Amino acid sequence: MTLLIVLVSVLVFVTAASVIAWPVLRGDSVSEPEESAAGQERKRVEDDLQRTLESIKEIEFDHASGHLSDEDFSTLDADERAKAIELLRERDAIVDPSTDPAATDS
Amino acid sequence: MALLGRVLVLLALGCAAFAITSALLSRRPGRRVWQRSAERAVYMTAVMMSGAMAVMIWALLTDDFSFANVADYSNSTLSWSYKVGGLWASEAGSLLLFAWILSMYSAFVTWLNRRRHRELMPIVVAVLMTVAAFFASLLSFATSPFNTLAQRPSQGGGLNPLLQNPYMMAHPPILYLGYVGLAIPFAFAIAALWTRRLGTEWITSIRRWTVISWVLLAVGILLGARWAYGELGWGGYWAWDPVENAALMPWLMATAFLHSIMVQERRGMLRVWNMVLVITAYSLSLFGTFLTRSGIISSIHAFGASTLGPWFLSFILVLTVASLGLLITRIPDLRSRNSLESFVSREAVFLYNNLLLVGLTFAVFWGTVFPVITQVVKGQSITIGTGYYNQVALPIGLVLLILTGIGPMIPWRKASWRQLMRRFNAPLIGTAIAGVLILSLTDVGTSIWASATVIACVFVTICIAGEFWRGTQVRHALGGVSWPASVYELVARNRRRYGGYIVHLGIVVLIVGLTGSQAFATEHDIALRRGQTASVRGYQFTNLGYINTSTPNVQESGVVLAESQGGSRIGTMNPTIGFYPASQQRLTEVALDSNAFRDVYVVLVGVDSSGLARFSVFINPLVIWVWIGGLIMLIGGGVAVWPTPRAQRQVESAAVPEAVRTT
Repeated sequence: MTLLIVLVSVLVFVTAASVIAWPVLRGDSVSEPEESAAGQERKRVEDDLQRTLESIKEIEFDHASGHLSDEDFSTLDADERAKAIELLRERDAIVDPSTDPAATDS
Repeated sequence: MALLGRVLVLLALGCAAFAITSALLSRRPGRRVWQRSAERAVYMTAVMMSGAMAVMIWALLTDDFSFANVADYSNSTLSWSYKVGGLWASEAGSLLLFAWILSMYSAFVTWLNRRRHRELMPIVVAVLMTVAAFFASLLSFATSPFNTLAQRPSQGGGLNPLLQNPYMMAHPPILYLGYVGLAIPFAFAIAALWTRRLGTEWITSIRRWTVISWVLLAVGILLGARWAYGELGWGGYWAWDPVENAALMPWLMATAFLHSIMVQERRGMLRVWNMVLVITAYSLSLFGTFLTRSGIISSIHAFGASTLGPWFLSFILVLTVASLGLLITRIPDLRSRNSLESFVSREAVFLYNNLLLVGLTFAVFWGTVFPVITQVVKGQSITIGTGYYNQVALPIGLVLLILTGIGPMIPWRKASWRQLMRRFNAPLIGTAIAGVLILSLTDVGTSIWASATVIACVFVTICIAGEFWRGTQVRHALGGVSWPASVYELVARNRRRYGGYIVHLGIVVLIVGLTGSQAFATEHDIALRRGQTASVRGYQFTNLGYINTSTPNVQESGVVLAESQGGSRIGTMNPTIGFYPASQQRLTEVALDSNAFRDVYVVLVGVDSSGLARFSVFINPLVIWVWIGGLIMLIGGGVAVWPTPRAQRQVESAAVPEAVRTT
């Protein structure tokens, strides 16, 4: 019984070590497409944009339900919209070589 | 099999150590491939821990008494569910459960974020795996659930009778899910500090996790209270026991955090404060684990003799000091973008809420550690009674309750006097009318605190109802749909906000139950021979006779009591005393008749040789609302974290950029 458990333990160890070491042993990460730095940045900007858009909707809802005065609504809404426009510009300016054929060609 | 369990825990430790190393290595330029390896090591840690858990559960279910843990905490007469419960009855077993939950959470978080947060994830993995490695080290070198006995006994010692209760099958695992869940916000906070990515990215990642942990902690605490109520036989469910406090403290801090992150998201404020809250909440969850395992406090829940105290204390100290040290170095990057414009604004209310919650946490912490401090300083342990906690918690809790109603009604930034009057007119008039009715038609007025609390509950309920009403009106006007559909859409389109309001409603209901049962509970002792009747606060109890039942696990002796009110029979109650041969322990089993207005709670104290049965009878008003409040909180939490369907998100996010571009 003990011998069997030792054999099972060794088998488990070897399997685990192989699974963990496989990406490094292969020396690359082709099993899953790596995201470029630009792609990651784009995702971050899009996440920020998503949050800002949600914030705009929330401000509109707060105003409609009487939580925000007209004056505060104008200020907050303008701030968030300006931020959203900035983020949209930022997103459009990011060129991701992994998805942009023009960038890949060059 | 025990050997296999040990090997699996050691392999889990190895995988966790490898994950830490490779995750940190992956941050170097050109070493991204190591991140893949680290992720796989996290998955393997979960696989190894799951294997170790499977070995332990198999040993418990098959009565393998060669395992010391099985021999000490289980026996063959127990039902399968109580055999499994032997896992968390023991110190080593509960640590294994803790480590397994952490490894599963870590694997899930790693998988969910495998293509997101590239900068944060290596540090998140390193932090989570450091904690996992700590627990795996304890299980490998300090207290192993896989220790074996030289001679296998024919029968085990059995599970502590107090733990043989359905609620105790759910309470520890759910509480652990909450405790361990707080590791995830902590890991993301450390990652954000480390990488200096201190925007709202990390907050968005952990918001849902924090709500889930918060809800699980709340449910775990309430299940523990329900267990104490049904099992300990003293008529109550909360006694400010150190281990109860240990679960309450991280919950209070997580409550503060959930409110203050809204201020950071909306106004870019409280950024340092939020980091402090996350770090403290997690440190307190580890502290709770330390309290139960160190043996430094005496509690019904604590593991008495343990050698793990110094390990835990060292780990908590290192983790907390390192985290706060890292935070201090990043303070210049965490400056708020805005400042508080008015003390009458939503962010100000959240700030008051936070200060009160942190104050309450500190008071509970002080009361919990005071016996330890006096032991060290004076050589004599001085325990703080419930009076101290009630004196502190009642006023703070009352103000917090009122803020629960006020907060959502006040606008961000600032509120004018006219606005406030307009917003609060209806709630204040409604509260005044309801207050007069309650005070004149019920007994609530006999207690000042109870009156104030109930009136505050009415105020908050009206505020919440008003929020739903105004929101529904807006949604109805926008959508052109029916009123019920408007309510549904209102919640579905803003789950976080309205889920939060449902949670607030659950808290109100819970507080109504707490107030009724704490302020107006009564206890009476009666003694009855067969055929005799006694009256307690309008209820009549008649001793109909005695019953004895026996199973291999327990021999029960009880009394059949007829319960009547106004001459009409309303039920039969069977308070019993059980004798557990395996552990040679006696335990009372409470008889409970519960409805919406009160619990009739009968404990059989004993039956003497002449056949005289003595009982303690408690009439506890409104207790059921404590549990219903917990259920409403669970539902509200579920609504708040339920993901918005991808299609809806896409439609909404596609529509707004056009609107933004046109401005």
